[in-house]
Amino acid sequence: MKKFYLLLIILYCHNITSQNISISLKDSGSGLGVSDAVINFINKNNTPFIIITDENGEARTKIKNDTYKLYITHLSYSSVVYEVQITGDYLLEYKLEPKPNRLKEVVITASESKGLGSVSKIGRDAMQHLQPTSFNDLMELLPGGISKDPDMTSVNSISLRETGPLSATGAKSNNADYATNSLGTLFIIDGAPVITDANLQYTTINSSVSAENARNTTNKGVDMRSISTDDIETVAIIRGIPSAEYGNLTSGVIDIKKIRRATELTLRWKEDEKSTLLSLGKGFRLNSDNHILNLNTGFLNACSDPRNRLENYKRINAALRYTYSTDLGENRFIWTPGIDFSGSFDDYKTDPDLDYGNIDKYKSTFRRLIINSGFDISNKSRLIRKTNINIGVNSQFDKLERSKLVSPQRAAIAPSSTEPGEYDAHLIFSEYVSEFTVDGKPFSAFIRANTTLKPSFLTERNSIKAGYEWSYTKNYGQGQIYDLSRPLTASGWGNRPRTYKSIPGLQTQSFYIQDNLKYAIEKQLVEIEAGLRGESIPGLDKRFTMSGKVYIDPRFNARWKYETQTEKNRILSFAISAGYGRNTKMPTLNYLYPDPSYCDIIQLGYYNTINPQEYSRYNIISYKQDATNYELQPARNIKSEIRADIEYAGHRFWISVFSENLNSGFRYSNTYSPYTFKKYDVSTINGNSLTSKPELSSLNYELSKKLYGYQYVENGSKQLKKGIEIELDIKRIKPIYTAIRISGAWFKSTYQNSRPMFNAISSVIDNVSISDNYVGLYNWNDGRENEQLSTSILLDTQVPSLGLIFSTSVQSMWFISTQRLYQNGIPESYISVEDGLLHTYNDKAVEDNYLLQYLVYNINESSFNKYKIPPAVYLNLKITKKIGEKLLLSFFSNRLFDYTPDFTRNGVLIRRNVSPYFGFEMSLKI
Amino acid sequence: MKHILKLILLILIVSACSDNESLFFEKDTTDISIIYPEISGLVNEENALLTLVNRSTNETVNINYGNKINLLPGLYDCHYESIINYEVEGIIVKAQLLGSSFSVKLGKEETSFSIETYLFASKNDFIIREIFFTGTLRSTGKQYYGDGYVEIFNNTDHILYADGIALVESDFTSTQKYDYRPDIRKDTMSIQALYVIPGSGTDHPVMPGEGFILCDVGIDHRVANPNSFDLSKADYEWYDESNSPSNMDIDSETVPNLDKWYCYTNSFWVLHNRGFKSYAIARIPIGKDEYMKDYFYKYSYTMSLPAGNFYMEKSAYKLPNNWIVDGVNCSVETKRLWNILPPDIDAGWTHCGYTDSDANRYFKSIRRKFLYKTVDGRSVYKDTNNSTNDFNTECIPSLIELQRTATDAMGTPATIITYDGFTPVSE
Repeated sequence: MKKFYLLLIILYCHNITSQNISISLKDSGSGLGVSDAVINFINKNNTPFIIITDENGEARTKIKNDTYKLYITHLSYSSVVYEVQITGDYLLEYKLEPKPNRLKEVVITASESKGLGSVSKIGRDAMQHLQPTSFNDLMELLPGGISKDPDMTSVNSISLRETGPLSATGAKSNNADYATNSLGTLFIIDGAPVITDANLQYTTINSSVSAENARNTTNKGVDMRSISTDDIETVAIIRGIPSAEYGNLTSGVIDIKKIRRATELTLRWKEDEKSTLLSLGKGFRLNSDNHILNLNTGFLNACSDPRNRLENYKRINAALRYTYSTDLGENRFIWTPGIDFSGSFDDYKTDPDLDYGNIDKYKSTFRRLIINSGFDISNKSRLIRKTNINIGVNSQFDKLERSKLVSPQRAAIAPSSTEPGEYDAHLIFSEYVSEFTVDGKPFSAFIRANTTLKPSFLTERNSIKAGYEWSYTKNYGQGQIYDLSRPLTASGWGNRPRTYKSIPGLQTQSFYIQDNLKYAIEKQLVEIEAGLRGESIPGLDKRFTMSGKVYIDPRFNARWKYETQTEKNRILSFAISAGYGRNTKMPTLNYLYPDPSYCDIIQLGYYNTINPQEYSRYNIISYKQDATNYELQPARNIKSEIRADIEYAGHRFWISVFSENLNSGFRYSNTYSPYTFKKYDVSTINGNSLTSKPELSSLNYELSKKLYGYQYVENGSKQLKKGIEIELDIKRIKPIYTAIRISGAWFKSTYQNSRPMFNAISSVIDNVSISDNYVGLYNWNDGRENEQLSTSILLDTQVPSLGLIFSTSVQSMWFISTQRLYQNGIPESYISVEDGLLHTYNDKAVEDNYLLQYLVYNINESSFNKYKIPPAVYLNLKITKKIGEKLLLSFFSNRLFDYTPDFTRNGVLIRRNVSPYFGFEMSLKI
Repeated sequence: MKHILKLILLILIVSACSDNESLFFEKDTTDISIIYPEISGLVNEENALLTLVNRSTNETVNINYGNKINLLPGLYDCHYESIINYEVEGIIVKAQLLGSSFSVKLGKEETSFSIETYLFASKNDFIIREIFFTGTLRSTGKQYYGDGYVEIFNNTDHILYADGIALVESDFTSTQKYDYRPDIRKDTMSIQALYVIPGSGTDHPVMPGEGFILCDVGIDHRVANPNSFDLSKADYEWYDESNSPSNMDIDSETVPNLDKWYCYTNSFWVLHNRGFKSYAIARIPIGKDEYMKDYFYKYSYTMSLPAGNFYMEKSAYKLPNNWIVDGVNCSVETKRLWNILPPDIDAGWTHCGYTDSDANRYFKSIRRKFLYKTVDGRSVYKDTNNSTNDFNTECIPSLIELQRTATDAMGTPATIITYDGFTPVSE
């Protein structure tokens, strides 16, 4: 609305030859600019007009020579009136006295952009009111978002417009097979992309209940826990079709702008059930407004449970940002270098009282240093309107240290060689403490250049944007360091230590060109943004199909808007927009160069009962299997959406319908091949007469074969997203100081494999292991179709005179449903150890070989029934109160009240227990 | 002591009777009072038979209980046996009552004595005397598997052959009960592991009152875990041949392997360490090939957990109940939902530990209760087909007692040798 008035004023002023007036409003205490102040000019003819100060507290206009009365009003400042006589260009500067205990009216929600696509914008005030621990908490503000307890002891990866993988009972599950969309969500901080493609901090333990599984960020993109919100000015979350400016992504974009302005010294202290957060920040004005230096530092200590201090997460961050802006002639020049350090420390120890001493521990430290620099030149009249170049380096020092007491069951064996071939294995009898270190040093560098052109042959409302982006990432770490004979699990075969330095680096290169067109006819406005983006991996080994290829993504967004004024001078606008775009995410280092898989087979297993340590002998043949998939393609997601947006007199309703189709998500899949080995006959060994280990040469053997499975990466995951988002905003109702927002979303997400899968049967029939001989290939759907419908009603009550913001939200998850996709338990073919080839599976094959009957999975039709969780309604409260001039106190309570009725499933009564979550914070401005 | 007293009495009686010659007397057998064990749901008793063995002449007389008989006065061993029918959970169970009184003086003057009887539900075949499924602990408190064993015992008075005895573990667990489809539980046990003692039928004779050990790994486990014990002299081991080093089993050269017919896993089989499974021994009357082909069983069930419904489909092998020789249901108090084996095999259940994952269960086994020793020194164990009554729970395993090895993670050695975990062996 304000902008609209401003526009009118500018249009109005345009035709009059008049004086340049510049007004600067400052806070009488801090000397900082006062934004959003309304300056009302009234001359003798009583023809008022209004201007509003910008974020620096400045406003400019052109007016005729005259005597004016200036009424300056602001929500948080006492109103003042000045009289000025304008005879020439003026620079007016006024100081405003803050009203005591007043809190200016603020936006405490995410506001939906009025631009082309679906974008949520979250500002400082919303963050202050929400009291986040990490970036993850902001997700609550998106349509369909429901408040969640912060979980700081596991990876917080992002999911936009989807239910996320669910378990059979509708609980969130962590499924690495369907992580492509969180990997493919681009985070940009101050123009610098966050590159996580070289993160390789994982161990060989792959149990789902292990400490590492929950904390493994490999191939999952940005861990939102590591992003502190304290120095963020605004966040734009592009849920819809990103413009061609953004690349190497499948899903959406999180564009974070850090605070780059003069601020008071702000101390924030937040305390909740599971964490303590402290942060300190100040924006210095050096000499003039042209030189701004921002300093921020923060500390977070969180635990999984307040009673358990053994499992915790700490985060330290510190940042220094310098902003230099100047006008050189007609050019505006901004230089924004910054240095950002963040460290996070994940700790997990077992209880020494339960575990006979404090032996098992997991410690993952992650230190990241980002140095980047932005360089903007803008000119309002030249061909090149705006150029923006960002360069940066990002160096990470990650260390994962794992100690684990390993107790072999019976005796165990461990590999003794990293090389393939035949050798004797280590025999392990006693317990040992395994020390496992993963040293990762991901490094990345990037350059990003964007330019906006307005060639003279195009109309004023048409502009062209073009850009280039290059990035390089490599891991310089020592990799996995451990003693082969002391593996992390006694059954820890299949892996060998690997140095990350030896993995090649990954370059990505992309360019885009985009045309932005705005066309207005009377009350109608048409905006079109159409672009093309090309992505490639230069320098990739020729054996890869991707080598030398450029993947072109078309992106298109369009909007038609109609705006009119009704009789009571109320503005009614109606807009429809649509978008379509293909997005491409290049594979990560781990997907391109996965760890080789080792197939180890016991050839001789001889245990001497008399002198087991000396005379037992275990001989192994080890095959090294390269798990690289040279056929790997980038993951590509096709997004489309349609939106409608209606505004009337400050009220707004919008709806957006979207669909995303990702067929080539990355996943690890199994494949099987036959491997030959010698089967030594131990029956001829006379254990009593041995004087040393039995000689292999004296033993008979027969050559044998078995099937062995290893994992390789393929584009085998399908992730389909469909949904509707709505939002209704009702303007603040003055008598009750309350604005109402009703928002909601329905998401339908399908997660499934897109290629046939091998699945081994573990039975042993008559001493014959089925999976050593036959493994079925099933053309089935390993996956689920999930749906959820959620709404949120937010009552946003702001009483500026009391310095109080009070928000009540009723968040409802109307249902969550999940359904297992149909699986055909009969294999379409099977691989046989005899020839290593696939054979058709049919009745005749089973008739010929009765062992094949075991490959059939007997799947009950009712397995595919839908599981639905009935409504759950929660009431959340958040209060922010200003006390005195300097102090803001906030309190939140999530799920203070809940309505979660019991329900029955198949005669079983299910009760849901909900516990509230509390926290408070104090923000002191000095 | 009891036996020594009896012996003295016997000598006295024999010397006292020596001048009593060929004077038969009529004995009314109803004078002999039969002390019955406590049987709930008793339906009837049939074929009650007395066997009187004259200790000096070795003459044996069989007579139906209740009849009169002419006897020579003298010292007799009196045996009583009958068939009783009783009802458990609606099923009529047939069992044997057996009782003996040894060296009873019978004559004109001595009129009445009593025979204490015991319920025997065995099929005149082997019984399971002990199962050690909990495993031991290392000194760090970590679990150690591999030293589990099952002892099979000849509780009869004749030689039995171990050839063809199958050890099976139930597929179902006692802590989860579902509506299994097709439901074959009435007459069939679903099994997930089946290992058979090899042999032609008479290769492995077992004397009355003797047993043998089937174990997981037949090695001296003290090499790996000093808190464990020696199984290198066990009779059989279940060896799971695997050429995968991640889950290799050890093939002991001193302990012969059982014949592995079926196992649900291609790694190694261990007895259910928290004791939720049922175990049985069986004699499979058909050939392996026929069995493997015809007794494969696929079933499904709905698992209704508080969290929701899960439809499960599984496969297993089936074992007809009438092939089962003896079986034991195991569970824990806090989790138990049902008995997997039907009442005619085991009407009760037993345990090591009271709660799920009971930390005190390690180094403990279930051991069958000792009843008495026969004159010839044969131990007789209780077998009423009700493991609640037949077994002592949380016992120190017999092999730990014999080898005086550790009874806890601290390594405290066992000191006493018992018959059944309670009754000490005293000489």
